[in-house]
Amino acid sequence: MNILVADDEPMLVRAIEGRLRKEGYTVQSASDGQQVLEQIARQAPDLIITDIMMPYASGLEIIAAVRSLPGKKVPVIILSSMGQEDVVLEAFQLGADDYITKPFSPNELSVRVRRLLTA
Amino acid sequence: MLVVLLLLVGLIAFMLLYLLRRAALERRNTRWRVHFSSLIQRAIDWEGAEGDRLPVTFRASRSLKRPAARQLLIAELITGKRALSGSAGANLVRLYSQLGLGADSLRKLASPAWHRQAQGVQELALMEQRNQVARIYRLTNAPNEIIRTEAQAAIVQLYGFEGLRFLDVLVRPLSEWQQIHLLRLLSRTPGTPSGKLREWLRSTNPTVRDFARKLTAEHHLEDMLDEEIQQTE
Amino acid sequence: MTGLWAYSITLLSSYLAIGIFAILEMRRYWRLISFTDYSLVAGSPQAPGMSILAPAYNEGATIVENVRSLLSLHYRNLELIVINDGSKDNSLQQLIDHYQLERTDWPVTGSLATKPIRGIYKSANPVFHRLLVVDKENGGKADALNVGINVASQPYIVCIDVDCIIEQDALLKMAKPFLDSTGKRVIASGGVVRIANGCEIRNGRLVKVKLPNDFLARAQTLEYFRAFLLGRMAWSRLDALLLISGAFGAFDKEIVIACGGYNHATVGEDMELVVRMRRYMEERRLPYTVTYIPDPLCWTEAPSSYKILGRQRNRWTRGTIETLRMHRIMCFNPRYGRLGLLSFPYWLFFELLAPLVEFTGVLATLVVAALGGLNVPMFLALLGFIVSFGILFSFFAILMEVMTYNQYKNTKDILRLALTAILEPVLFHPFVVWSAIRGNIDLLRKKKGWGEMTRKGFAAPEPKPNIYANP
Repeated sequence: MNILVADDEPMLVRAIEGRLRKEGYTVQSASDGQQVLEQIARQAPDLIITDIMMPYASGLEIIAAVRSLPGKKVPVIILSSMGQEDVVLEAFQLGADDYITKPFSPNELSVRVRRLLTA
Repeated sequence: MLVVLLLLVGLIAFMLLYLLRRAALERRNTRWRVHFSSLIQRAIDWEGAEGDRLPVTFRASRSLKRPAARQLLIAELITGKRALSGSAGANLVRLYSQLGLGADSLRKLASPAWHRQAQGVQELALMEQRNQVARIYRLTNAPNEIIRTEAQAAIVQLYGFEGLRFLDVLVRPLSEWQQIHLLRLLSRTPGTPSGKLREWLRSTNPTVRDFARKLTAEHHLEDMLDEEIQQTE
Repeated sequence: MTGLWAYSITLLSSYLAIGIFAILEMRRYWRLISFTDYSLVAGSPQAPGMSILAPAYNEGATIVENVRSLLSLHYRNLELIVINDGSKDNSLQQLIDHYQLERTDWPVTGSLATKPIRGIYKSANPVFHRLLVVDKENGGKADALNVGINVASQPYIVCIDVDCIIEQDALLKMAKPFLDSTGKRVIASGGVVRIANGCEIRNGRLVKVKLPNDFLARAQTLEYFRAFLLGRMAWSRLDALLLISGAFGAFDKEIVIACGGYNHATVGEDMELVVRMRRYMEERRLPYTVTYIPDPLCWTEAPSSYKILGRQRNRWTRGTIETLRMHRIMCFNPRYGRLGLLSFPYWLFFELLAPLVEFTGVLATLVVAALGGLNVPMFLALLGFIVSFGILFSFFAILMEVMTYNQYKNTKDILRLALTAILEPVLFHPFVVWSAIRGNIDLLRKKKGWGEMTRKGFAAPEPKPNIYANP
């Protein structure tokens, strides 16, 4: 199972990568929206975990881009420090599968990832 | 004119030295970051018992003899703690305490420079060093705005709604920014504003009244307050 | 000769003062932002609502891209208003097609007098809910902005050129001063314009910052360092910042409307508005401040040919003269505090008159030399002094940039900037002075043919290079 993790904070990306790799997933990372879009175009991952506020393309744009891809629906988890109700609602309306606010627990994240990938 | 040429030469020399030094510092910091990266990573994933010590490599502990390295690690720990909660976050705090980094943050509190004091407050708060709360609390009414706002944020982070006690005595203004900041921090803690809300709504400090109104709205306590007012009338 | 010496000494000492104040202010600002978590404002519903006003005239080639990049800015309560100033091309149709726009009944709340609005459009697609397009009869940039102000629904307005590239965090940074203020009302917040020439731009976003290859663009980059990192920082410390650059600034809409909006009668409408807003607050003795953010927030394409540069500087000169003349009551007037006693005289004597003084100085020297009475060593000493001081100041500006934002990380780039600084007194500065002189002349001439001639000048924009074309 291939997971794409996108966040502009490298430490966070490493932390998530490390955790997911230990559980047996292959992980690719991106540090800005542009990279995410490029990687999605090259090869669609099985799951995307992304922040909202990133350079070049926001997480919400990425959801929209992912939803417009042909083939199987790729689950998207939003991981963001913005927890306001309407931002969360907008994310779900655009097609996000889950929304986790920062600070978050890596344990929790891995449980949610497993849930979406086995659904 | 000679003076100007001398200044010019001096400036060029300064620039060159500055650039060289900066490049050297960057190289050194990158090296340290690499060491600390695995240190932090292991701390995040660690699942040991309460009393156990987190693994620290010899190389990392040797680097940590330098204050600049310790500062770098503190900054990384803070970034991590802002993003991670749960056992991962707790482990970062444990690492901070185990390595004695609290002493560095405390030393900053004693500095005469405002930005260092504020930095110290921020670090102690994020790393949950509650034993310093008295000193931080005293700073919630400080004349310097940044120290004050960091201290207020620190108390709220550590004690949630209980921490808002400083509103009773606050004479200096609470900017909109600070109000938004505090509301954000409070939204992450459990609990509700205490009975103090009524007092704050009548505070002599107009910004405190403003903040109290926001709190009321956020927690949908308008009805309760209207009732109270009606009863007293 | 002694007059020239005296003028030079005063000018150069003021530069020295600017240098010192700039360092102090930059240090304070740098320390301040290390404590700022801008993400706090990004999602907050309490963040002040902002309306971006982007007038557009015949921008058909790039307008769809420009709008797309503006729509993706990180800011919650954001409204993007594109004002089509009666374009003769298909700009409007392109927007309608691409963004699924439909005519709508939008309340026009402002009361500024403008040319008639032909229609207001909103998108049927919720993804573009922030976009509002206003179609109006041609009336020039000031008029288009005033229409935007009338239509805007948010309390703060940000006026930009539609082809500016705005950093993702720009609005967050601009919003902060409005939220920080306690007691003093922040009426305007100015940002920095950086030069986009030579930078890698993809999909309307700045991907990589690079130093322009073109000498003229590099010279302007250097000039912008001096103006923004040194000049404006210093004035900001004194809270006497008089002029905010045209391309980027956020304004309190209420005050703008109270002042009467942008003024058509000047080519420097952006400068003039800020001066008028300040006067408004000063005259009513209302506590206020104008803040300044030195972070690079907005990137724009600078003229890369002498011809277009000449026209730009000509226009800037005329705008400055017109603005200063309109508000000449402020000069040396203690009623306007630091603005009247420091800023205004500075702009008058050292920014406006400097080119004239230089020019007359050169002429006088030539005359004296022709008459054989020139004290050559003295003259050379003066010239050498001024030129080397200028280079010193530029180097200082480069140092400031390197020590702060460091957008040009290559050592080679820094060397090229240094070289540009050395060549500037020969290849750039005289041209700028000449354009300023032309500006003065043109203004005097137009005064006789007022009305018709000036109107033509506004409606025809300068051809701008297309930054979306491949570099």
